[in-house]
Amino acid sequence: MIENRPVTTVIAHCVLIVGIAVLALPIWITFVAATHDAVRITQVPLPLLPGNQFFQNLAAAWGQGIEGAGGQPVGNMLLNSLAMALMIAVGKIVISLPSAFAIVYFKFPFRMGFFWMIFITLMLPVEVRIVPTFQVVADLHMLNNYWGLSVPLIASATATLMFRQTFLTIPDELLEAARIDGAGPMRFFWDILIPMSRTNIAALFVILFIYGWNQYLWPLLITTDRSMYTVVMGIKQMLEAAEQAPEWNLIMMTTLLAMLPPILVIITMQKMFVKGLTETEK
Amino acid sequence: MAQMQILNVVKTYGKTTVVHGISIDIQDGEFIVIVGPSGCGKSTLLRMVAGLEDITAGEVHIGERLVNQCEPKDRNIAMVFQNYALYPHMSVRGNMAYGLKLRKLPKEEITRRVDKAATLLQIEGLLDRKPRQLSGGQRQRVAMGRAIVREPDVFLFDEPLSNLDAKLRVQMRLEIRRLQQRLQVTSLYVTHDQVEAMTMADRLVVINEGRAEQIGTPMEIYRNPDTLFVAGFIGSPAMNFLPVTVHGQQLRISDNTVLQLTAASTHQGPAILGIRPEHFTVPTNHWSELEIIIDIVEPLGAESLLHGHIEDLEIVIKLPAAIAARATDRFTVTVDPQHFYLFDPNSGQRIRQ
Amino acid sequence: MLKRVHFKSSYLPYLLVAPQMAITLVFFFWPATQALYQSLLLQDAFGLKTEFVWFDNFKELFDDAYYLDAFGRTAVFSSLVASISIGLALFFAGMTDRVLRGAMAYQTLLIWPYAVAPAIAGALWVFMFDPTLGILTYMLQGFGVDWNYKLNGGQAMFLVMAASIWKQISYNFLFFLAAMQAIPRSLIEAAAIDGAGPGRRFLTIILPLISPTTFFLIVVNIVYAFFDTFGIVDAMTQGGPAKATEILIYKVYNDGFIGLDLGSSAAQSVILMFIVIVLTVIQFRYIERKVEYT
Repeated sequence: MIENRPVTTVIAHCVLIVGIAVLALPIWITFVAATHDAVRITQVPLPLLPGNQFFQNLAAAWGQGIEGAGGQPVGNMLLNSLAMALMIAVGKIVISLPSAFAIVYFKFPFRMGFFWMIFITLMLPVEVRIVPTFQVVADLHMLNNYWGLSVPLIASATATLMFRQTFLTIPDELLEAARIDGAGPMRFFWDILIPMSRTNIAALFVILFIYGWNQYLWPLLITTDRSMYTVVMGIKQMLEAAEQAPEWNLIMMTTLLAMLPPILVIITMQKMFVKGLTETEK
Repeated sequence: MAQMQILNVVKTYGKTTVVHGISIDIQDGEFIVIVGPSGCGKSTLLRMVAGLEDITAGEVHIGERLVNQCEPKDRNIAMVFQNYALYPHMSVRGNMAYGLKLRKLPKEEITRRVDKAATLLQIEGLLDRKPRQLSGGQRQRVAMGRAIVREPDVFLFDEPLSNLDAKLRVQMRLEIRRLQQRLQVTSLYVTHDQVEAMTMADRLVVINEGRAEQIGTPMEIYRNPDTLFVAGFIGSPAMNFLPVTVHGQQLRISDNTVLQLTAASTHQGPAILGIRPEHFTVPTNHWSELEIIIDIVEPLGAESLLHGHIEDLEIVIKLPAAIAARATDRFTVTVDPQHFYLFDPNSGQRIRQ
Repeated sequence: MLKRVHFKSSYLPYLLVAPQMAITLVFFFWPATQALYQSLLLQDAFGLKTEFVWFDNFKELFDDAYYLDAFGRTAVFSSLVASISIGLALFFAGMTDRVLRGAMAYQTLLIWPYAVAPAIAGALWVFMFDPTLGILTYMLQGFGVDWNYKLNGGQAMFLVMAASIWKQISYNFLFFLAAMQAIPRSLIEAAAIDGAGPGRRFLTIILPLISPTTFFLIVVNIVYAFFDTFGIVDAMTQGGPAKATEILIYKVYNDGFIGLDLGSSAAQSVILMFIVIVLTVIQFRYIERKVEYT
């Protein structure tokens, strides 16, 4: 800082540390609960320090799940979540790259019409048109499968708009140089445009993966078959089951498992994620 | 290698015409510089030759071929861009080889050509680097290399030096010239910098508002400008222009100052007199004198620039430093009437005696 | 919008936009029109009879005290969630921007709640405040507070808001920090030389310069509070007790899927669509006014 005032700096550090502690408290309590056995976790007051049942709880949740909540193994739910998140992230990127390419690099009738049709989807989140979208998916027999979980969520503008933005910042001269070098549209797309956008693609992938992983309402509606449950929506069944049999140690283990993948993704790819987030959503 | 012909080329965008029928005949191996202020249409002309812009009317021939309808890649040209346009994700070698790969040249041939060009440009050590790891001058060389490996009929340069600092610019312009003389490839070079234009060109084309004002060797254009615009644009510092009235053999600048021509002018009445700053001398003989009020002296070392005025007309004078040192507030100078350039104030055309 | 130099091809661009267009038409435009159409229909509970009723569904909604309550509740909920999470994030970002060392570490420690799904966030907070087992319930009882969010509507609302704010802070924090770090150092130094202390600089230099970000975040946070909090509400309270936490988006779902009143649910959807569109338009008008540092 400009002034050399150690006191204010120390205060700033203290405030931040307290803030982080408060923010992290729910996670700590979750973690502690996930390390005790079922008996300890029904005795008030609950422990504040971890126990020694972590791996037992992990094995139980992973392999058998929670009986009162249908007994779906969490391992299976995680797999479903992973499949859905990957399909949404990859699907959005795969359909958005070519459409952004067309809109930025081609002149053709209805170009602006297409752009606006894509743009307007930005305005209406899936929650708002949930009932009719559900009906379409049901009519197409896409209930209870990965396609139904992912494809309807792929229809959105964010990725297309971001790639459009990226492409617009690529200097015109590169296209000209490529044309003089003899590259046609698709060559240019593969050889120049995609490699040049790879950091943006990666940043977007992180954001979309988390978006997909954290979907709640949509899988709740689309899946009735327990083997298709995703872990985030599975939590609801567990919370309902907790009314009768409060196996909080296993529920909290499941929550921990449900949080872990996106948190790991965010922290390992922090730089890319922050760049992607703050630069694309504007 | 090829000769080239640009015939009455016109470019219009909607209702505005940016290039009004320019024609240039280019010899095989010639280095042509197209120079003009920004927005004069010079880049558009180059881009039409490259095939990056459609030609509204007129013809472009490369070699014996009419190329108006050819794709850029089929014109056998290579282009060096102002911002170099290197592919940032490819190595230097990848950048240079890309066009050859797309032309499906055999691998050994590509390697041979890239290595040869790298040696020529002294960038052998940089072949595995990415463009962002290079300095401006090195990037410039890679861009040149990408053009050279193609062994094209024509090199096109679009202000390739304007992103470099002044010192590097001087060095690179020499290098480009040397390279071109060695390779003997017909070249079209666009710049707004008249020093670059003068020093590099075999012939230059001065463009203003979409028209070619004059085509000629640099010295022809410097010594003998056809128009007011060319006279003002070529030469540094720029030519001084004074409104005058011609009466017989006399040029009247104001009531106090009258200059004598060597012979009576064919043109009478108002005109514009152009005098290059370097053509002023101290009074030595019978030429008519001008008294100038000096405002500022800029010493450049060997020479000095004197900024002054006659009444409300600004005048710049360039003199050897030793002479300039004698300059006082009111300073009398003279000019050989041979170095008078008279222009028609309405058409801007040169009035020749 | 379009590159100066572009390709001309008769069919290729259509081929390139086709996949996205197909998905958008089937899963976006078709359902959205359906929602509009259904909002004008009246259907009996068994789906046997439908009748075209023009705007009756809307009229009914605005006469419905429950709906108007939900509207008011959503307004209060959204503005509180947005302002508190923005305020706290701004505070943390300001502190992080102040410390020279460790800013990156603080960023790491503050961003991860963004990755937590709303429903999961709900689960965390439910467990902490469980009426019989919760650790914080235990502490509150120690202070003599009678805590049972399953019975007390105010407490339920407080809990839903706490979880919503907790989850959103990191998002806001990231944007504020990025905006603050984009302010050129020399500007802050100039202000310091002009005699402005840290607090003053924050108020008179930093705050005005990041105002576009603040505005952007206000809109985004309102949208978040309107829609993304569905998972939190559903996991924690299901809109209860006695509708105390039933916000608009939850009511759309509840009336449509649980109550099977499709016409009313569709009409509510249309109203929500309208609100989002207005917010988006406001946001895009303001986004043009970004601060540029030259």
